Amino acid sequence: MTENCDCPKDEGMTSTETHSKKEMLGSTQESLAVEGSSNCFYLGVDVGSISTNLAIIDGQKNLVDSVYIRTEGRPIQSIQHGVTLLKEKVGESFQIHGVGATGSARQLTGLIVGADVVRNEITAHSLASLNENSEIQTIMEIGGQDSKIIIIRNGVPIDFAMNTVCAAGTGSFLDQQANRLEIPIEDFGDLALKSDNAVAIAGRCTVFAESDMIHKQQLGHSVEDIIRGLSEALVRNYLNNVGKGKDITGPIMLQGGVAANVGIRDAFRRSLIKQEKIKHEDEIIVPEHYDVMGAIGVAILAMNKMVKNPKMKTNFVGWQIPDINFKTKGFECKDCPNICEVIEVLMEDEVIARWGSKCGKWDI
Amino acid sequence: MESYVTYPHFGPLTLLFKAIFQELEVPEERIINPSPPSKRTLEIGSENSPEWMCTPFKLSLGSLIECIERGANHVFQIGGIGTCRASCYGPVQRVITEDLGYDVKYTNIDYHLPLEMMKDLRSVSNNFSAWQSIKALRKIWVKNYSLDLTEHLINFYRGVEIEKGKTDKVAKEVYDKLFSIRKVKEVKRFHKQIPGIFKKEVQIDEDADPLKIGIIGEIYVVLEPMLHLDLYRRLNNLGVICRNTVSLKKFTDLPAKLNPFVKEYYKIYREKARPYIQQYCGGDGQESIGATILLRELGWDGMVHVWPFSCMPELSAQSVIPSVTNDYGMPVLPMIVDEQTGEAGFQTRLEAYVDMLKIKRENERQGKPKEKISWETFNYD
Repeated sequence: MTENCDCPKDEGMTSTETHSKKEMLGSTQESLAVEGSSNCFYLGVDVGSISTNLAIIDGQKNLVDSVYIRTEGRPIQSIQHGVTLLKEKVGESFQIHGVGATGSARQLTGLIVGADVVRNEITAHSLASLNENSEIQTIMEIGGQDSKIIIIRNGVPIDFAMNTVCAAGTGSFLDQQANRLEIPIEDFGDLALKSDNAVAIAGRCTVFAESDMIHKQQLGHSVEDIIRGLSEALVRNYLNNVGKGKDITGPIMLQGGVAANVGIRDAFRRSLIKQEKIKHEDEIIVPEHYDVMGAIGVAILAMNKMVKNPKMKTNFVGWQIPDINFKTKGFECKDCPNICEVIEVLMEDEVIARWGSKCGKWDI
Repeated sequence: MESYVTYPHFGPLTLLFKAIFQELEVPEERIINPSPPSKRTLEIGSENSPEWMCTPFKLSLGSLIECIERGANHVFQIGGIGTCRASCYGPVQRVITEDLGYDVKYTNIDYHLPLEMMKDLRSVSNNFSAWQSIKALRKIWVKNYSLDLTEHLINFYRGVEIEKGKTDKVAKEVYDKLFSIRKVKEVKRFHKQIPGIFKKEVQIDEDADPLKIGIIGEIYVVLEPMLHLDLYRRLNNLGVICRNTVSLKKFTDLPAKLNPFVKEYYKIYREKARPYIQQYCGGDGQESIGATILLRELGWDGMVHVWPFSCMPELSAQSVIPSVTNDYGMPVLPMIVDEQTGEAGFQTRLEAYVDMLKIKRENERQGKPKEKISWETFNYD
């Protein structure tokens, strides 16, 4: 199952260079130029704070199949569950020629699936966006707990910002409020579209936004108007926080979990047209597979690496991942006042990795 | 009552403060040296500080309390008029430790008032005359040059070393040697040898193609590993060579201040920043802007801007930086830290930033060969 891919490779990219750190950090342009054969398949696994996504692409970077589930604070179980679902879709004999791991749990994920490439989710996302549409000038991404903006010119990222000390204006903000209003987050966007009169909500801080919302409810505003107000508050927050002073121009790619929300898309369109950043609504693009872009991106990175190093074999553990018993154990090292929380990963009761100490003495 | 002197931890410069008291011949057992700050340091500091105070205040307070617990009763804190909140660190911390029930004397070292500073330091010395005190201080600022130089060397060699950990070993030897020398002449002679020592001892990877990243921001955060979460080492591990642009030299380098022909770097930075910020805006705000422009002109790849949450001068700089980025094409990664900053997010941002800069550089080069790396081309002093 973990056989080497013996498909024809793109010439020039198959030079016999040994695999090194340098290549792992290959450029987007290179990555976009690389192409594998259509009967080679690559898996990307993105485990974030909110969701776990798996995607399989073929050598032409087309999405073959994907799975999107909630992480719910249990990354190992969600990876195993995700793999099970994917296995059901593609069949047990489906061959994978390269695996990439990304997301905030990328280190753990990399171990569990046996990743050939472990990269940060920001790079994976921008790569996937550029692959989807090479014309884009701006990538705006709002995830569960972070928001970021990447400015792109001529297919090359030139500037980049991310929220630092505050998470107002991210997906969690909407999630919180949806919870409080007892509306499923999936219906949130449609409700916002029903309103044509947004209520101003103090959106600087999630807690105060809630107070303000309660107040507006008690004044008698409708839920739809309040939700639309919230969407606008989130967009305002985003543009004033990470978007401040950045040269935002169209086409803009909107992605991350929040991109699914039609209310937010609409609020972005109106706000950006008003600020004359874009001329037409169509300049905001939401990719078709917006929910699994991170997984697609890292699958492309894995493909890139495998195609460049034809002699390499993938480390993919195989479709039996759900049957393997993984456990994590944590302990506090009390050897110095830093009191680091050290995490151990056990595979079938054997320690396969340990991390978390500042000084590095526990690391394996 | 016998006085037991102490001072807050201040990154690599802690060694310098230690040296000041050694030079003033304060008996070894009466100098309480702060240990490297830990989580606990930050915790006690935050517990006893006003919530909206900046993180350097909290960390230095924690560091002082730890020293006071170990028996110190005379604190030397840096402060002075009119830069930012740093000027009130000493007085406010005095009130806080008083409330905690400690009987501690505070002395504010104000670099704006050299005479006062001299008098304060003389008071703890071994009955030094004014001239002896000046001589002792001179050794300090001469050692400060070497300390800065060594830091720059570490952040260069660690990024391209072949044998991991070698640079740190060599650096430790250099520090030990530097602080065992007592004569100014010998310090100066040793200073000239330092780059050679690194060159000889640390083998560098000639094929490496490291990015060059400058670090700008608030001085305490830029220098204290506990607050910048070991930013330099993280960058070095990503195969980047970096350099801080802030130094205590700005305050301690009296000869440069007196000599009109010496152009100090902070003055060059401020001049470069003039089109954006005309006036001194406190702290290192102007320098942050100026250094970004200068390093771009020198062909560097990017900057990381680290500053503590609620820092006014850096906030001023932060609002100007997008225009600098637009005008000069120099990307700047803002990193706002406080006592609650998580390491995972920090690392992710750095990795992504480094990836982005690599792509950008490749595009700018357009197939031109990489430049040869060497300390000589990296150093711009």
